[in-house]
Amino acid sequence: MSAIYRKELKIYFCGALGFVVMALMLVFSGVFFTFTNLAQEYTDFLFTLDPMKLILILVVPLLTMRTIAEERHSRTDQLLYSLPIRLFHVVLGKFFAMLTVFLLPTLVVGCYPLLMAAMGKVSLLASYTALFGYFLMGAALIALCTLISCLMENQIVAGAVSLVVCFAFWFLQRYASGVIPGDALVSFLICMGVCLLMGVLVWRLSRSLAVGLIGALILAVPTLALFFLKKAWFERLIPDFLEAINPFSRVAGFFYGYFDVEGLIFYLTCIFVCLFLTVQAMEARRKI
Amino acid sequence: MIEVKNLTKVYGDHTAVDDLSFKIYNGKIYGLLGPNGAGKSTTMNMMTGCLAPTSGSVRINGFDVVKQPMKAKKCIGYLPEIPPVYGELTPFEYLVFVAEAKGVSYERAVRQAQSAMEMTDITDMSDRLIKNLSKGYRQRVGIAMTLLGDPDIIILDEPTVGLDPKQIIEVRALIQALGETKTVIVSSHILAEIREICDHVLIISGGKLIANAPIEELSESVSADVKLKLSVRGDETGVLEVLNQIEEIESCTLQPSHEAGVVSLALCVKGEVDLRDKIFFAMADRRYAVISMEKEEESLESIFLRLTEEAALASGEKKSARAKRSRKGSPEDNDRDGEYELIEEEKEEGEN
Repeated sequence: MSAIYRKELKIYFCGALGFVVMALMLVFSGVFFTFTNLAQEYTDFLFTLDPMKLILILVVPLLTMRTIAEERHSRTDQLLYSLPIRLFHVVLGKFFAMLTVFLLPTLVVGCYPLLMAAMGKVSLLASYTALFGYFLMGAALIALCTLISCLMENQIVAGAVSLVVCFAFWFLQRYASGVIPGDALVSFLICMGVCLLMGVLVWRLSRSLAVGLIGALILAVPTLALFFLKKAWFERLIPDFLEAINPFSRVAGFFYGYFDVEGLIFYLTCIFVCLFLTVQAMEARRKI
Repeated sequence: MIEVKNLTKVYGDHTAVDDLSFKIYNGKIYGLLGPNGAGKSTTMNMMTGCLAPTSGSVRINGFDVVKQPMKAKKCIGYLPEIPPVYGELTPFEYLVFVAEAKGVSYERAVRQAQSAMEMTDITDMSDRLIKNLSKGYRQRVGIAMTLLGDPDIIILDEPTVGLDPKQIIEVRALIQALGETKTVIVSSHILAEIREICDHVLIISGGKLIANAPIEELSESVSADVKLKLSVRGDETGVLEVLNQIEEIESCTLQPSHEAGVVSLALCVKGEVDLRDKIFFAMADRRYAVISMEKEEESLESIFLRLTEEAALASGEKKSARAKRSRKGSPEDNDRDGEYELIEEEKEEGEN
């Protein structure tokens, strides 16, 4: 794993990508910090961190787009498959390298509360808890976009899809309640749509329409029964669900200044699931 | 040693590799020969663990590639058709990375990288980025990569594709040098290349193994008939009369002659009988001077073409026979295809 980690870091810093990512984060954090905390003398570090969530939409796809998609495109994945090294170690090595590139500017941003503390009274504990939450959120998004990079063969497509996914999460966190109605009927219809999609997926994978139909019915019948028996469960189901799985929403606890164990478990689970699926996707490609 | 048993790879409805079985013994250079799309790369990818087989097994030095991948992969160095190199790294950095990924400590990795660079003659390029190197040098970096971790077996998939003639000669010489200390498997569709560098040939067509023999034995085992080229000074009718008296001669074809009064002939002799003495004395009795007489070795090209054509024909016949059987429910056909006889014979020999 350490060999992969060092190789990835070398690739990031031999080219411009690592520096571009770091520069983007530092420039935007510097601008936000200067115009809010310094110019307007706000002591709350959130005035810098909260808008920095937006930077992640750009930085994370940039960081992750080439990681596995480019290996596939340039056929270097054949080397990884033929080396006596486990695929989980390959993915972990890549993930930790990306995390390191993300961590370096985050550490610089970590100096800002100290600067503020030198000039006035600042809650350092709350500031660093928020920064820790920000780092966890970034790590979860990196894991998610690594999975996207693994599913694509072209790094540009991987970058574009990652950008759309990150933007969608950010947009839903900001405007979910306004965009998706919490009405029970709408939630029910969306659930039925998901059942149908799952049925299509099973159909495509099994190549049997009957199996696909049975799959869709297995999901749709209980959903239908639940809707008529416990209609109240469907009130705000979709907006609440999207908020629960949204990395941008789960950072709220840390940003309020307390160590959100639930949030920590969510992010760690998110990282583990995404990396696990990445390994499975790579393994499945070997078997195709 | 590599032991491939009933290896099969199916993509949807297409069988890329069909029940392949063979053994690779240590200390030789093996050539995997076959037309484009024959299943050479798929076979190599399965042998190196890059691709999981649909069924069958590959054992490398006793380790199963699927069940004990770490141990099996440590025994091999694999260069795919497109060298898997990172353009952003220098050859030295790349080689150290691969060596470390193979479990070699940093100090040993550096030593191995330097020695591999010396062996492949890329030391001068060690500090340049790989993306700035020519195709030939990238290929050398790829070959150098296969040497790291000191594997017993080197597998090279079409290592000379896209190289200029000078580079091809250099890469072939390098492979021959590697063959002195390691087992090397080279895939190619270039017959001359296989003939030049390999000790043993495995011919694959349509995913099936149709020949497995040392190059020198291949022509003998495939063709039981002996061909002779003969030039005799004398009249055509008289020479043909002499030859007609020799029973073992199966056929006799006149060839264009470049010398006046000299008859050129191509003779086909049934079985493995050496008739040169008999022909010489028969001609001498009639006072015909034998100008030249040579035994014609069947070229690898003609063997390859014949075997692959026979395999294609046989697979077509098998398909139609299968279709007939399924239509009529006829009893199983017992006809054996010529191209499999060689493999069957070898299997029997191996069992004995």
